[in-house]
Amino acid sequence: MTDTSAAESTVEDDPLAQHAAQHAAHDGRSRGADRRRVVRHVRAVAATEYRLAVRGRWALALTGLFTLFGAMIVTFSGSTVGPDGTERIVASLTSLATYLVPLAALALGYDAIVGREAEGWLAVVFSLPIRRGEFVAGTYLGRLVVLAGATVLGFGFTGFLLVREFGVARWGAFVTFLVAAVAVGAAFLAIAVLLSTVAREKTHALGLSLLVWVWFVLVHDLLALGVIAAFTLPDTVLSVLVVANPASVFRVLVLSGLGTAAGGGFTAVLADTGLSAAILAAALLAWCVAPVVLAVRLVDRRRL
Amino acid sequence: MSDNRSWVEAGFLIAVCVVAVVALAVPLVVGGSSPAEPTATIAVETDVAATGVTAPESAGSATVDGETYDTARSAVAAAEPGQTVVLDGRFDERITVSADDVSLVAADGGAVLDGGGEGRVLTVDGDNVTVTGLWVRGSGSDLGAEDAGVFVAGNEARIETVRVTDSAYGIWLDSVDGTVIEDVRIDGREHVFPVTERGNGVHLYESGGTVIRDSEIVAVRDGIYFSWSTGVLAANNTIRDSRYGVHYMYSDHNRLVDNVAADNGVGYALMVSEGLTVANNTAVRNDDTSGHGILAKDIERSKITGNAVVDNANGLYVYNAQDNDLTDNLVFGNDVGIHSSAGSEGQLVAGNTFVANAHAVSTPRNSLVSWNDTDRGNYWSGARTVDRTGDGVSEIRHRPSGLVEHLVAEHPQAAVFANSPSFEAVRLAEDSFPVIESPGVVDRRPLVDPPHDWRNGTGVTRGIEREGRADTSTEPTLAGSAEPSEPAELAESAESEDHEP
Repeated sequence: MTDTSAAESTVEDDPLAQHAAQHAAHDGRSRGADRRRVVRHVRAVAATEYRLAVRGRWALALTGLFTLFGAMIVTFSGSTVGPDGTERIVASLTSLATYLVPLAALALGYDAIVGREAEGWLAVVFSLPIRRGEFVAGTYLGRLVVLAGATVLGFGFTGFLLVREFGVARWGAFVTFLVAAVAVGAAFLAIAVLLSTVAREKTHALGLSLLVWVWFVLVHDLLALGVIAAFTLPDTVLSVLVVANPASVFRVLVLSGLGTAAGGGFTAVLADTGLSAAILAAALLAWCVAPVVLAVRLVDRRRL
Repeated sequence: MSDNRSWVEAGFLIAVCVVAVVALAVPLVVGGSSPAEPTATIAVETDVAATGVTAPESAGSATVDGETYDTARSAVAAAEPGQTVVLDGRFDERITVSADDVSLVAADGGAVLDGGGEGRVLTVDGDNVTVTGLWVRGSGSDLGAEDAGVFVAGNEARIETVRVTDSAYGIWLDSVDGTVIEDVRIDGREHVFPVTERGNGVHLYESGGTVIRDSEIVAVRDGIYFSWSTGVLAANNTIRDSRYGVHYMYSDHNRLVDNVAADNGVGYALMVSEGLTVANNTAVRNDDTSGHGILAKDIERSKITGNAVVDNANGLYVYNAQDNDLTDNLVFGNDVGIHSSAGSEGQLVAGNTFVANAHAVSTPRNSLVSWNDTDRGNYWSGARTVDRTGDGVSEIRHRPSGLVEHLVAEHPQAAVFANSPSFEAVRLAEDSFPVIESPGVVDRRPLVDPPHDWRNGTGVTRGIEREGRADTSTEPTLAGSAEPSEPAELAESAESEDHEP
C-alpha cells in the first residue's frame, strides 16, 4: 500500500521530499503521517459525496421511501396487541426490507464511479493528488452515510409508531432490525460500488445491479432450497448457502432474534447449522468490506 | 442559498444521530422494563372434586339400622336391600357389597377403607348400590388381576364424592350398565414408572350407559379408559399428569363434553371408534413424547367441535380417520395445529381458529386436499384475506400447508429459506392461482375474523388464563380457571357466527 501510494502521489509534494519519504517508508512516524493523509483524503471525498447526495435529494427520497413503506406496514398489518405485536411487525418489516433496502442501495450506488466518468468528474479527480482507491473508499463512505441515515430516519419513524402502539417491551427486536437493515444496505452499496468500478458504461452498471438484486433477493434462495431438497447435505453447506447471500444473512439474523410465534421457529433450525448471531453479523460485515476492498484494488485497472 | 444547503446537510446528519441515540436509549429511559417472555403458563384449576372427603385415623365403627359393627365387612354383610351402612373412621379391610339397593355412606367425620396393598379394596356386586363420601386406598398392584380401588360388578351403581388413592386401577367397571360416577377424585401412583405400569383412573370394560362427571383424575395411566363401551357421557372432568387423559378403544357413540386434560401425553386419544362426540373440551400442554391435544386414529363419523386445544405439541393429530367433522375448535399456540396423515379423508374442517401455532397444518401427503366444501372455512392468523362481499369470508383461498411447508417438513433445514421473498412468491402463487395445484391443504373460504375470542377467554370453555405476560389487559389471555359452569358459551358463539351476514 505504501509503495504504490508513494508512486502515485508524487504530484503533490516536491520530488525531493517525496524521495525522502520513500526512504523513510519504514519509519513509524512517516507511516503514521501517510495514514493520516489517507484518512484525510477519504474523508474529503466522503464529505463531498455526502453533500452531493443530500443536495441531489437522494437523502430525502430514500428517507421518504423508507418512512412511507415502514408506516404502511404498521398501519395496515393485523390487529395483534401486546409485545407480540412488535415482533410480528418486525418480522413483516424484515420481509419488506429484504426487497427494499438492497434495491435502494443498488440504485444509490450503481453510478458511484462509472457515472462520475460520464460527467467528466472522474478525469478531474484522478488528476488530483489522490489515489484512486481513496476516491472509491470515500465515495462508498459518503453514500453510505446517506443510505444509513435514510434507513435510520425512515424506519425510525416506524419505530416511533411501534412504541406508540405496542410499548417498548420488545424494543430490542426492533433495534436489531434497524442495525441489520443499515448493515445489509451497506453490503449492497458495497456491491454496487464494485459493479460501478468494473462497469464500462453506466447502463452496464445499472443492468448488473438489477441482476444482482434479482439474484440475491429472488433466485439465490430458490436455488438454495432446491439444492437442499435435492441432495442430502451436511449442515455446513446450509451455513455456506446462507452466508453466501447478504439478504439471507439479514433475514436470518433478524428473524432468529424473534420469538417462536413471529419468527417461525427459526432458532431451532439455526441451532443445528451452527450459525450464531455473531457469525451472521460477521458475515454481513464481510459483505460490506470485501466488495469495497476489491473495488479499491480494481479501480487502478480502470482505463481512463 | 448555500447557507440553506449546508443547513440541510447538517440537519440530516443531526436528525439521524438523534434518532439513532433515541432508538438505542429507549429501553434505558423507560427504565428497562424487562420484556416478559411470551411463555404461556396456563393455570388449570385443581382440587375441585371430592374436596370434603377425609381419611380419619380413629378405629372404624359401622352402623346399619341402629346396629353397630366393628368391621365394615360384617356391617355390609348384615345390610338388607334398601338399608344404609354408615362407616365412621378407619377400616383396614377389603369388602364386597353383595346385596342390592344398599347405600354405603361415610359419617360426618369421614371414613377410609385401606386395602393394605392387596387385591380389590371395595367390590360392588349388588345392583343399584350407592357409595358416598368414602376414601378408598391401598389396592394391590397386579394390573392383570384388575386390582382396583373400587371394582364395580353390579348394574346401576352410583359412586359419589369418593376419593381413591394409592391403587392400581381407580374404578373398574366390569360389564355393568348405568353406572354414575360423580365428584370423584382419583390419584394414581405417581412414583410408578413407566406410566404404563400404572392402572387407569376409571376403566370401562363393556360398560354402557355410564355417566362420569365432575371428577378429577391425576397421575394414572389413562384418566378414563373405554373398551367396548357405548352410550357413555363423560362431562366436566379434569385429568392431569397422566399418559392419556381420555382413551377410547372400540367404543362407539359416546359423548365427551366440557372436560379439561392438561399436562398429559395425549389429552384425548380417540382410537378405533365411530360416532363419537367430542365437544367443548380443553386440552392444554399435552406435550411430552407423543404430545397430542386430541388424537383421532381410525375414527369414523365423529364430531370434534368447539374444543380449545392450547400449547400442545400437536394440537390435533389425525391418523387414518374418515368422514369426521373438525369444527369450531380453537387451536392456539401448538407446535403443529393439525397434523393429518395416513389417508384421512372426507373431513370437514371449518370454523376453527388457528392462532399462534408454529405450524398451522402439517400433512405429509402428495395430493391436494380441500377440507371444507362448505360456505365457510377457518380463521388462520397470518393468512392473506380479501373480503369484497363483506360476508366475513375471504375470496382468496389460503394454503396453510403447501409446497413450501411440504419441503420444510421433508427437509427441516429448508426452514432457513422458507421466509425468503422467493417463497413468498411461491405461496402467493399457490394462494392466488388455482392452476398451481401442489400437494397440501387448501382452505377455499378462509374467515376474515376469528370465530373465537381467545384474548379474554370468553370463547374458551372454562376459560384458560395466560399468565406471565408483561402487562395490560389487552393481552391474549387464555386462562384456565376451570369454572365448571359455562359449557354453552362456545356453542352459542359458534351459532351466532353462522347467522352473521
